[in-house]
Amino acid sequence: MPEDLAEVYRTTYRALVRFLYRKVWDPERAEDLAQEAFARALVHKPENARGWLFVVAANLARDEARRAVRERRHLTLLRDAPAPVAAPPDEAVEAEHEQARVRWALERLTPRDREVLLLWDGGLSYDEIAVHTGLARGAVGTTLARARRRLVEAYEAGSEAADVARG
Amino acid sequence: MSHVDDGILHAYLDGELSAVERARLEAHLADCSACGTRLEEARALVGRAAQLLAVAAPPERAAPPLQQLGRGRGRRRFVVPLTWAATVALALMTGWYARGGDGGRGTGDGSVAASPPAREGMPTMMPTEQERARVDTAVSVAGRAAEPAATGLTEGAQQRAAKTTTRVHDTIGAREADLLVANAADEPERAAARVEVPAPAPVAVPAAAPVDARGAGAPSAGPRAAAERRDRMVPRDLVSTTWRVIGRQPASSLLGTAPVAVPGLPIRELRESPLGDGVVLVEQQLAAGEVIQLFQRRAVAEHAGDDALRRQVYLDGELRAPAERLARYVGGLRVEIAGPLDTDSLNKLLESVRPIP
Repeated sequence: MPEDLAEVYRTTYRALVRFLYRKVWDPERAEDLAQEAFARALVHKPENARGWLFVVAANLARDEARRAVRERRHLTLLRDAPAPVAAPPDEAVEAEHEQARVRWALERLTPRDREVLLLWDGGLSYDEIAVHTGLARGAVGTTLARARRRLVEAYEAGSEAADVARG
Repeated sequence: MSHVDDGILHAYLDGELSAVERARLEAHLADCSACGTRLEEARALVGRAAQLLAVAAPPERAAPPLQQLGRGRGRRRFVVPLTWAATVALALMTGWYARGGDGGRGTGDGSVAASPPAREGMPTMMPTEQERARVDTAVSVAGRAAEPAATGLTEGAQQRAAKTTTRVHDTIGAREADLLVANAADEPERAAARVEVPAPAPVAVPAAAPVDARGAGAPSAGPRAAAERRDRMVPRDLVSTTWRVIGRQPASSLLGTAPVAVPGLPIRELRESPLGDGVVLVEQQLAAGEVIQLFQRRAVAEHAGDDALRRQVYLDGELRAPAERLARYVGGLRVEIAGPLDTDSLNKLLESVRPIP
């Protein structure tokens, strides 16, 4: 195994899991996909491992999303399972709501804005993001600025709506 | 210099401006309070966005060693096709031997449904001399390690029974099955003639097929009712491949802990492996005519090597190794799942299993 891949693994694995989590919204699936991406990197030994990993991970997540759509029918079964007897503590519920609002806000972004934002948060440089997305390097900052603004705006709009709904 | 755009401000805050760009921007900011204000707004926005993204993060967990991913992957590539082939090979082989014991009845008709539950009253654990000879051949060809699988199948008086048993072996002990794959190559025509290759979904065990010889007569597409009819017609103890229905208490003592099931799905039966290997099968009703099967046994220390391998394969095999990813550990149990669903759905269900209260 190339030394540098081990280093990339050490520094990037969590970031890749986070990146994937914001696409599949399932922690275990995100880890599985991240591991799959690294397993492929072990075989392919790419030049720029970090950028390459995010490309592969994005593709894996896209395949995953397609599959998820097909399987929705079966997964609805799981939702029918009885609720746990002990209600989770309020903080846990609140954290879950909070995350759902962020997710909702992220989904208001255009795919390109969202991708750039998630890649930046995953630790990629502007150069790497430009390669990944096909944007000009100079457009990355502009895209990020817009993505951040829309994320925050959508989040706040969503929270207001939720507050209104709660009355 | 005219006012800077947001992109430049964000790039500046992200540390992504070149030295020249940075110097130019800083010079402008020194003169332009409007842009200074915008910079502070941008800074707040960057912080807020990062904060929100941090909320949308999975729980922190340690990464498995990278080397393991590599091993799991290499191993998987090798194992999967073999396991696949082994399922076919074993089904074919046992089918053939059993058919031979039947006097070759039905050869070439491509269907085995006509074969009656032969040898009523005969102690089926004891193969006839004829069968024994054939099985010995099989074992010697397949090698010593294959013995458990092969002998476990000798009693299969019906090909369907053999086939079902094969499934069980495939699920529980793919290791043994692997070794028999060599024989498949020797008998390609028979394979073609008799084995419905269970194409990409290895766990597409006929929804209705209970893991015993009688129910196994139902064809893949066959409705559950057919199997149930057969169930009623044949006395339970006739064929020793029967997975006996047992109570919750015996199941718990076999496993040393409560058996697990998917919460919210009605449990049809708890069954016990006929092989005396301590495997318990929990069958749950998924929908009309759809049953999922949870094979479970104690996770024993001496299998740790295998288990680690399989778990790794499961993790790593998410996308391309459906045959290998349907096992997991729950408490002290190793649990495998089979049913008429996509492997991803099965995985979801498998992830949700809990001890039966």
